[in-house]
Amino acid sequence: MASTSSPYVQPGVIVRLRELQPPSPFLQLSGTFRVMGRLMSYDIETGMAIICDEDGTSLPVCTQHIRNLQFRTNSLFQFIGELSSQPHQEMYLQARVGRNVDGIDVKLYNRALELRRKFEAKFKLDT
Amino acid sequence: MAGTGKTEQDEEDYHVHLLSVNFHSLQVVSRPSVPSSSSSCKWALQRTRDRRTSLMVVKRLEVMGLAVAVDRKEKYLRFLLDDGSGACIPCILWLNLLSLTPRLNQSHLHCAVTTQVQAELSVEEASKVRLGSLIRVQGRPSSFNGNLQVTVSSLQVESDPNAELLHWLDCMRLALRNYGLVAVQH
Repeated sequence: MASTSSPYVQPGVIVRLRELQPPSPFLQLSGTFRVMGRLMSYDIETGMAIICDEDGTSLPVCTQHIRNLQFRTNSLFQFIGELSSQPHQEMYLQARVGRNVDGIDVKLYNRALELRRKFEAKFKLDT
Repeated sequence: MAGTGKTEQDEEDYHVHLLSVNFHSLQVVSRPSVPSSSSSCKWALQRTRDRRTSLMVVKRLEVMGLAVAVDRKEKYLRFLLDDGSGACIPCILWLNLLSLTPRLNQSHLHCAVTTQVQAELSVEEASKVRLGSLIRVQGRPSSFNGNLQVTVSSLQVESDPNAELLHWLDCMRLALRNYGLVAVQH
């Protein structure tokens, strides 16, 4: 678990799954992401979950550090974690945090995300 | 920003709804006479109203995000909120309100009861904070070891995932239309 005394826990940049496909600009910005997708499969032995976006893009998520979450297929989940992209290996998200978001308005989510990006571009601090 | 005596200051007496990107723009505008009491600092955001630049003093604020780190101690609960913008927001909920408050006599019975209720509420709220839960926090800005944080006065664990989206939209609308916040160059 990340320490709360450290101000250096990276926030999960909120992205859609298709935005993690190379050469996405998001991959250059950060290694920590928040993703959302419908659970297609879950391997109880390895803790590997496959989530899928509405456009069919999928992403493997390693959930071995996540406790107290019921992995029901076809449910919507959000995960925050670090993207692992080692050579000769499929890219996956090493999740630190996850939650079930069944009932979320996906259209509103996508629209709000677009507005947030415009808003953040205006307020992003020049450090 | 401290010491810019010529800049106008507006004090708003409500919870200012902020995304992390704006929360981390908070700056100290006046310090307490006792240097150690960092919680008494005045914090403000830069705004423009009627084409005039001024400071909006933020006494109370509301933030929301996913708990990505939780540190539970006897005296306090510290946690980090991640709303996906800026940086994570450190929050602290004190659980030792009763020991911090001096003993009150019968004439202060009302204060004593209020403190007792607040202390019990804090313990109950702290027990609900879990890694990954969506948390709405009301509190005031403060600092610890030079890092900006929120001293929590109350919190709610949200079960509706749409609550976060509505919070984003609220924060953006208020920042642009009501607060008139402007980007700060560091």
